Amino acid sequence: MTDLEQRLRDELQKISERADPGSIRPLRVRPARGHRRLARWLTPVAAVAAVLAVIGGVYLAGHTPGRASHPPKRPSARLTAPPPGPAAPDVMPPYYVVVQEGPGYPLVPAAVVRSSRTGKVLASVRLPKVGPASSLAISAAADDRTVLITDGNDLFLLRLTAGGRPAGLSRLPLSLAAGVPPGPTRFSVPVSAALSPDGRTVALEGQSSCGPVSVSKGVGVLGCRDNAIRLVSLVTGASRTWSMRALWQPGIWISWDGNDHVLFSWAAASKSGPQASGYRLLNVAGPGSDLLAARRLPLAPLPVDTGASYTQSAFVTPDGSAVVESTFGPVGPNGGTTVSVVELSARTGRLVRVLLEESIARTDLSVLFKNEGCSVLAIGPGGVHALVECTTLTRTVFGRVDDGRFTRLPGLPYLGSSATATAAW
Amino acid sequence: MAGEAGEPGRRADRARAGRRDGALAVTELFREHHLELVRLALVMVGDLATAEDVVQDAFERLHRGWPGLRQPSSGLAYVRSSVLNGCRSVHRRAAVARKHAPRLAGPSQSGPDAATAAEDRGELAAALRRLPRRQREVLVLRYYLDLDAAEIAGTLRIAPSSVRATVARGLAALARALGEDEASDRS
Repeated sequence: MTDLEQRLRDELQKISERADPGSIRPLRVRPARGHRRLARWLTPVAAVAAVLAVIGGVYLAGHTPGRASHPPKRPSARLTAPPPGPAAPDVMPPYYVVVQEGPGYPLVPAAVVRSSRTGKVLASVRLPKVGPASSLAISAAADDRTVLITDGNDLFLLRLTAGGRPAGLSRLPLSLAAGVPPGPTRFSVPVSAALSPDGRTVALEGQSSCGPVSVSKGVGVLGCRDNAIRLVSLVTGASRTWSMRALWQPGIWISWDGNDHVLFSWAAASKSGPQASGYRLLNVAGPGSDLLAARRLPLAPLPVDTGASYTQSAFVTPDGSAVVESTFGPVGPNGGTTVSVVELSARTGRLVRVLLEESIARTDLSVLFKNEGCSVLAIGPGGVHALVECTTLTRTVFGRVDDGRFTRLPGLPYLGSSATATAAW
Repeated sequence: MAGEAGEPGRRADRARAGRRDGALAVTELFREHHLELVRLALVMVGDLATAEDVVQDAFERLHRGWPGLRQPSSGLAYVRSSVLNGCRSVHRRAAVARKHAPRLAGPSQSGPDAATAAEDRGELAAALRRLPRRQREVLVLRYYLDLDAAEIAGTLRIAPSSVRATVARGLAALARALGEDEASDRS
C-alpha cells in the first residue's frame, strides 16, 4: 500500500468518525408531506421504522452506555437475555486480529490488525502459508501484542508494536504435529494451540488413535484413545506433556487463565449409555503427567455432540473464576434453535450471567444466528468482552458480547460463506 | 377447482411471508450496517444530518423494494447503492441551489457543502471532493469500506476492470492534486 493510499484511508476514517454511535439518531417516521401518497405507504414504513427505532436504541445503547437518548429496549420476542448486570470495567483490548482468506479484503491469506474501537486497519500482514481452511486458529497473549497463528500445520508468531503496527512475523520451529500423542494408529483430529498470557509458552492439545465408536441419532460418534496436552516453551524449546488413554470425542478446547492453568473440555465416547463430559483445569506448574489428574470443575456436563446440540467453545476467564461457554441446540416443541453464551462459576458451576441468548424459530429465515450459532474465540484480559464469531449459512460476523449484548466489531466487512476467518484479541 | 380456489390464498400467504421476511431482513441490515452506512454517506456528503437523511431514505426504499429483490442476500448491496444514489441527489440539489441562488446573497452558509467546507479542511479530503463522482465513489468504497473490486463493481454496477482502472485514475488524480508523483510512490 502506498503512502497516499494509507493517508486516504486514514482521512476517510477520520471523517467518518464524526458519526459516532452516540450521536446518530435512529430511523424515524417522516412528517406528512402529501396526504394521498402518504396514506399509501406510511403505514408499512411506520411499522418497520418503529421496529428499527427500537433496535436502533439497543444498538446505540450497546455502543455508548449511558449516553443513549432513549432508554435501551430489546425486541422482546428476539432477545431473552436478562437485564445487564453492573457495568463491567472498560478494558476492551485495543486491537483485534483477524486471520482471513477468501473473497473479501484482503484477497490473499493475511492477518489483519484492526482497532477494536474504530475498526481502522492498523496492519495487514501477508501469511507465508495457510493450510486447510478449517484449521486456521489464532490466540493472543494478554498484552494483545503477541499473537499465535496456526494454519493446521505450522505456527507463526506475530508481534505488534504498542500502536498495533507489525513488529515481525516469524515461523516457529515447531509444528502442530508435535501436539499429537503417539498411539497405535496415527489417525488424529486437528490439533489446537493456545498462547499463554505471557506469550512465552504454547499449549497444544492433540488426540490420536481415533475411529468410529457408535452411531447416535443417526450421527456417527468418533472416539480417540490417546489424548494429550503438550506445553512448549518458546524461550527455551523445552516441552512437557500430560496424557491419558480413554475414549474421548474429538474436539477438546483449551484456554489459559492467568495463573498457570489450562482449561480443557472433554466428552467420553462410549458405545452405549450416558456419555460423561465436563471441564478440567490443568495446573501446569504442578507435578505429574496424568491428564486425568487435572481438577474437574463442578460444571454441568456438556451436551453430547449429536450434531444438533453441542458446546461450541469454552474459555476460562483470566482470573480462573469462571468459564465462558457458547452452545446451541434445538429448543421448543416446534423446533428452532437456541444460541447462548453464558458465564459459569468455575468454583460452584452456577450460572453467573447470560451474556447472550437468542431463540430462533424454525420458520425464521432471516435471523443472524441461524444454524451454526456462535463460538467464543477469546476473552479480553480483563475477563470481559468475549470475542465471538457467529456464523450462518451465508455469512460470518465477529462481535463482542458483554452485558447481554452482541456488538459487531467495527470495520470488518461481513464475510461471505466462502471466506474463512478467525479472530483473537 | 380446489387448486384454483386455493391459489389466491397461497399467493396471499407467500406475500405475507415475503413481507415478514422483508421486515426481518431490513431490521437485520439496519442493526448490522446502519452506522457503517451513515458513515459512508457522511464521507460522501460531509454533513451528518444529511447523511442520516440519506440513509433513512435508503432504508425506506429497501423496505418498499424488498419483495422485488431477486436475491435477498443482495440487500446490503442494494441499500449501499441506494445510499450512494442519495448522496448524488444531495450534490445535484446543492448544485441547483447554488445555480439559482440570488447573486447578491453571497455563498450559502448552510447545507452539506458548507458543512463539508467547515469540517473537511484537510488537503486530501478537499482533493477527494474535487474528483469526478465515479472516481470519488470508487475510492471511498475501496479505501473506506475495504471493498474489493468485485464488490465495488456489484455496488456501482460497473465492470471489475473499470473499478481497477478508476481506482488507478483516482489515485493518480489525487497525487496530481497534492503535487505528488504517485507513480514513484507505488511499490
